[in-house]
Amino acid sequence: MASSFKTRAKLEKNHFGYIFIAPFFITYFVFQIIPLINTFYYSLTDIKAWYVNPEMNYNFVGFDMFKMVLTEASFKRAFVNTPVMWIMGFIPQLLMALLLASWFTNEKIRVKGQGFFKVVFYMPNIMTATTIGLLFLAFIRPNGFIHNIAIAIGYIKNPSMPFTSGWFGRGVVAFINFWMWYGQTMIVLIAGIMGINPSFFEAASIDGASGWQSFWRITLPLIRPIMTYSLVTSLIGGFQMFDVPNMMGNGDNAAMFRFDIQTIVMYIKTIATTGSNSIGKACAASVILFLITAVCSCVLFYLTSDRAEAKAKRMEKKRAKEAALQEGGDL
Amino acid sequence: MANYGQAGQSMKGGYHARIIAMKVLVYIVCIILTILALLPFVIMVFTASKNRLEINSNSLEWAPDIKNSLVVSLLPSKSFFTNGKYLLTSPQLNLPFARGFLNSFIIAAGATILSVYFSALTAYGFAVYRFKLNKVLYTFIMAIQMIPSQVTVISFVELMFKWGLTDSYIPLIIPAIAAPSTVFFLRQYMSSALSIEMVEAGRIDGAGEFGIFNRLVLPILKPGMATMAIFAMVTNWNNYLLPSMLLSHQDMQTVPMLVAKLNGNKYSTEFGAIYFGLTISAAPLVIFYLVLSKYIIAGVALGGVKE
Repeated sequence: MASSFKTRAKLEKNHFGYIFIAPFFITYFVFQIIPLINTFYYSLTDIKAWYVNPEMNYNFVGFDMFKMVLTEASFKRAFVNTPVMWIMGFIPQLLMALLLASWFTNEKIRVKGQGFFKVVFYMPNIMTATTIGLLFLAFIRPNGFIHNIAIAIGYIKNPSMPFTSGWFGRGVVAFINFWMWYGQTMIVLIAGIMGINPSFFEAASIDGASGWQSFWRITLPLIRPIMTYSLVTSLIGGFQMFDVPNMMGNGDNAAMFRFDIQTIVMYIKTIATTGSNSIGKACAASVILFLITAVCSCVLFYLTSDRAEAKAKRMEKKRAKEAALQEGGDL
Repeated sequence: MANYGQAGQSMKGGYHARIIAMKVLVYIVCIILTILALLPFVIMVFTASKNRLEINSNSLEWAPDIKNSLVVSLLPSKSFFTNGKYLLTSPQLNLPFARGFLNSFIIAAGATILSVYFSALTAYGFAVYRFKLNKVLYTFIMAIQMIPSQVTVISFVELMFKWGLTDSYIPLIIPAIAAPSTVFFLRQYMSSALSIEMVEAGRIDGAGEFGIFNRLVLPILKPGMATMAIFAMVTNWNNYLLPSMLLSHQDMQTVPMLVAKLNGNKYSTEFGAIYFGLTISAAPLVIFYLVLSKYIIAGVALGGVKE
């Protein structure tokens, strides 16, 4: 009797769960789901922006907006620039983070002042990206610090000549991404390495493994899930890249290489707020961005988890075989 | 812990020399990276203290010594307050930074309080109550973490226009109630910090469900909520894309929007004022970071945060 009463009371209480989670879902529906549905819906129309079209008139045009976006030179450029700048920044970011994480967790080196280094390396990450973007734009303008260095090493001959190279511009954006994020990746990787059972390293050391071998054979495989997570979140963030290249490539005093650092989100904002003010086109580009992001992260998750699983299966088979052999030998 | 180094030590000659060489390399790299992390900010502050002539020195014909000008850019000068006064009060340039700080603070604080409180509420709902859709809805929250907000930004602004919410802080604060990654983090946090027995004890004492949450559970979750609050504060303070599309009234603009305005034509010759604007936009974050760096680094290490 008592227990059934208790269960019923519990069941009644369990309805409170819905009340507790209701604000989240109501807010998410109103401010995220409706705009998401609208994005897909508007991408099939020729709707113009709110300030040129307050009545919000529009016609259905099928996939015309997608065709327009996909054939536009400025979209193609943004579509190439964005992943290129992300890769140029992410590869050094991951390598530097791995190197520092392996050093900081190395029992033999025992780096002192780690707390200080972590605080300093992470600092650029919390700074406002618009501030960082404008700061580096000021550095590369004539009389800026980086411009002065370029004169000093003879890369720029005329002191009032600005940087014009597109690859230089992409390099600056990629460098800023690297500079803002390697500290974050390093801290996450250090936490991952610290979480590895120390007895693995002890066993490896007793078996005569070198530091390099135990890093390659123990550390790397075991922090792979964390690296995958870093890779996927960085990729998603990379495709949304906006604040820094926007500060350098937009506005009255934009850099000369402004067209070579246009990103997809910059393209979307430009389409919606200038020229044709086409929300339909901007939403079509948004849908494309959404699909790219979704496909990339699914593929990455699938590849990495699948491979890890296959490897685990192979290892298991091998172990079973060895165990069987040993058993045979014992007999 | 450290014993596994000993075996190699006795076997290999020159072991100590190698370790020392390694240490030297590590510290050299770390010092270079420290300079790399701090130098841009140092130059920013020092250039903010220079007048137009000092900043423009190397493009003037009488100052061809570029190495000298590089060294000079690493030294402070005396015009810091002149530049500040010029940026903040001259009628041609004036940007309402004081107002901008207040606006950014209102938005960031409002969004932070809402996101942390309601995320805790949502996470608690999932952690404590066994309702039918618990698993399905929680999986949904995990999945939507990955959807970037930039994808919907255009139709979000369009919708806010339809509802008459442009030039309002509502679309920048209220949506913070639904913060999937904060819910995820606090749900994880609860599984170690919260025991169901405590909730049961509260019920036996006759407390209501919301009373239990507000008076018993919230105090226990404080450390986890503080971690999330720090990151929510920084993220909302730094937000640029959405405010720049929603707010047009001068008195409503946020700090990142004012920074973006520094890139306008009328500032093109006033580099001292630009650097001053950048410096004051960075200052609150630097102070915030120096005070809370311990918690921020610990929060990053928990891995729950990636914007």
